[in-house]
Amino acid sequence: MATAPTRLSTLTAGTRGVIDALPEEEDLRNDLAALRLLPGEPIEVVQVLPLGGPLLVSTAGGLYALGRALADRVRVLA
Amino acid sequence: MKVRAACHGPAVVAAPDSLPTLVLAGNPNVGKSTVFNRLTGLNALTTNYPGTTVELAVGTATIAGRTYRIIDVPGTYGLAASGEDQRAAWEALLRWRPDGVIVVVDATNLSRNLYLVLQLIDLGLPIVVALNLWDVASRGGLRIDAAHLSAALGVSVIPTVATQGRGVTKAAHDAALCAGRPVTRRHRYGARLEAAVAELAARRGDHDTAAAFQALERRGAGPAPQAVADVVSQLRADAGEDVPLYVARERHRLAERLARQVTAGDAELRGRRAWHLATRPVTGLPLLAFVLAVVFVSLVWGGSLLAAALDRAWGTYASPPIRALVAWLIGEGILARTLLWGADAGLNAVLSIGLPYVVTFYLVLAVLEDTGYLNAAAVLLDRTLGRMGLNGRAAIPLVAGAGCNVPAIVGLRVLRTDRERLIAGTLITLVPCSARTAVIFGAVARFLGWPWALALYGVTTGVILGAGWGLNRIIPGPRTGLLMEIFPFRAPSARTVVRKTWYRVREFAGVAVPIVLLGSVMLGALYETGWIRLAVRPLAPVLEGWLRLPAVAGLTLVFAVLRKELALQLLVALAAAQFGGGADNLLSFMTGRQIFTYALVNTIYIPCVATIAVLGRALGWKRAMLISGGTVTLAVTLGGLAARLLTALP
Repeated sequence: MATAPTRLSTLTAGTRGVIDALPEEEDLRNDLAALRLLPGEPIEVVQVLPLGGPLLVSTAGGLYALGRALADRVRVLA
Repeated sequence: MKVRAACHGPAVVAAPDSLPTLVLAGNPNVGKSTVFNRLTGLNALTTNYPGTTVELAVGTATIAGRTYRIIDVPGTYGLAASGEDQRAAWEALLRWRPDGVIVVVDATNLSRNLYLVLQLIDLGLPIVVALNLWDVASRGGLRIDAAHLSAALGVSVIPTVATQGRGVTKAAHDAALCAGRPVTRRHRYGARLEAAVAELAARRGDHDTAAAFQALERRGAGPAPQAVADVVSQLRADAGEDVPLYVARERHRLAERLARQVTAGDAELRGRRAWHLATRPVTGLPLLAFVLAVVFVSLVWGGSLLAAALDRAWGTYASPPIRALVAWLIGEGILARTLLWGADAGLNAVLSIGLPYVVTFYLVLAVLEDTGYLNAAAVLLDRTLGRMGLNGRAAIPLVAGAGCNVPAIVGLRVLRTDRERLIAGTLITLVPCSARTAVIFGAVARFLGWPWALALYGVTTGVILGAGWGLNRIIPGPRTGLLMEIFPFRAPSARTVVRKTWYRVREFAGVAVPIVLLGSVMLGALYETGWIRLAVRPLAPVLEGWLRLPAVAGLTLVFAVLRKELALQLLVALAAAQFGGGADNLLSFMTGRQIFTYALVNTIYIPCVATIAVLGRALGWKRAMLISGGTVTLAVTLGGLAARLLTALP
């Protein structure tokens, strides 16, 4: 995958990618890690709620809702 | 005296009765609380929603002739996680050192659920696995080889269907058996991680791998000793990432491999289509409006039908004998009449004003919770709540607040920052709880019609949105993003719904009856002795002058700080005392405008003493007082404005 990492929040529904980097706060990283939202894990955007709403993403761990502000800080390789 | 299990380190914080303890752990929404209810028959609530069991539910159960304490801890995905509810799970498991842990896992999502199982074994806890939702997995074509999984993990694995009680006793039995046995870890991670764990354990001198894992995942308090830090930094360099992330990755990888080995069939069981419909605004917003309409109509119809029936029954069967008994015992003097305020009017009010709406509301709420719809609503409302400095997660306590503010404020623990807790806590006190709903429906909807009740809810919603928007601007600090698992919708179980409603109503009645009796007798004494005129005099300028309410009616608003529905109950009793007969006299006592103003003030001013108390504990007393004072000011201001606006109307 040669493309540069982008923000998860910029992806449209149906896009698949691989998580590249998580936000820095340790608490948040631990929460994401327990859900298997880890760098290197594949991720698919299932639905994007309009007007700055959350994203629904599917991973090997399950189906999760991520607020737009949080998705802004997760980097993916799409 | 029993000697505690030798297999683990730190001293046990023994409970006074020294009962052996079993803890229930698991991810949110896997049926943990249902297992708890099956075991204990106690009143922990089960909810298809993360975070409702934030207070530890404790009960006892007799297993193989011996009594055990059973603790239900908040649902958690891993022990690394942050947040107060997660910390509560951590404490229950690692500080209290239970004799056994039942890990309830979702058989339909085995891989992700096994993460917690592996972590608990790594940390040296004696566990058994309850493979729950076995029926759902089977129906979806999943077959899990429990014996194979048990052999791989070295712990007992029991298929369970908690909603039917299947397998639950067996799981508890096995958990009781594992108490005191040494914990051996059979699973192995990659060579690099295993080497680091072995090195740490060796440097400790006791070869305690559980302590090594705790050190690796940085759960120990204070700075790590040099020997530990060396190993951690070496592992970090070798792995090329933070050690906790690396450990999590290894654990997920192993969990997935194990799940694959023991599972046959397709794992795609989740009903995602319904989720799309519920969260996409085009279909989701109409659905939300429909759900709210159903709640409203249930309260208008169900509540008022129930209220009328109970009122009639009381008047026919209960009231005459009670009056006769009091007359026979102490005659018909002031004391007797005062007593009747409580024993007749007060109890009648609980039955025909409080209870019908509370029962109806909790019934509807239980159905909504059990289907998992509230979860979809949280996602849908994330953006709106974002404007108020919160995220979708705050929908949990806010909706719970419509039942009762007290548990909702306790539930604030699921929110991550102090700022979010402060904003959400303030907003919860403005959410009309079922007691205030009883006043809105029992007075406004009944005497003025449902559009007025709807208008009152509209005003309240506006106040909440405005307050949230304002607080978000005033209080500094960042907001945290939503991170929530999406659960499939489920058909509500009649058993769970009825049980949950019963527990909540029982709790309501247990608290409400004594307070209503006391309040009624107090007001009755003031009324019968004629002192009521003295009591209202200092309040008259505000009540009569500004709010344009009859001063005696205003006095019931003051009493309502004990319990909000008490306002209407006392008002009806006052009307009955003054004009005779039942609640139908409210309109002869007050005008429609006054009833609206009255209900509005009652809805917005300080919730009740119980709420203030729990607010003080959750947010601090200064803030609790500030919120209380603020809501009184707001209520009186809005009440006066409403009185003037309504007079201006034709």
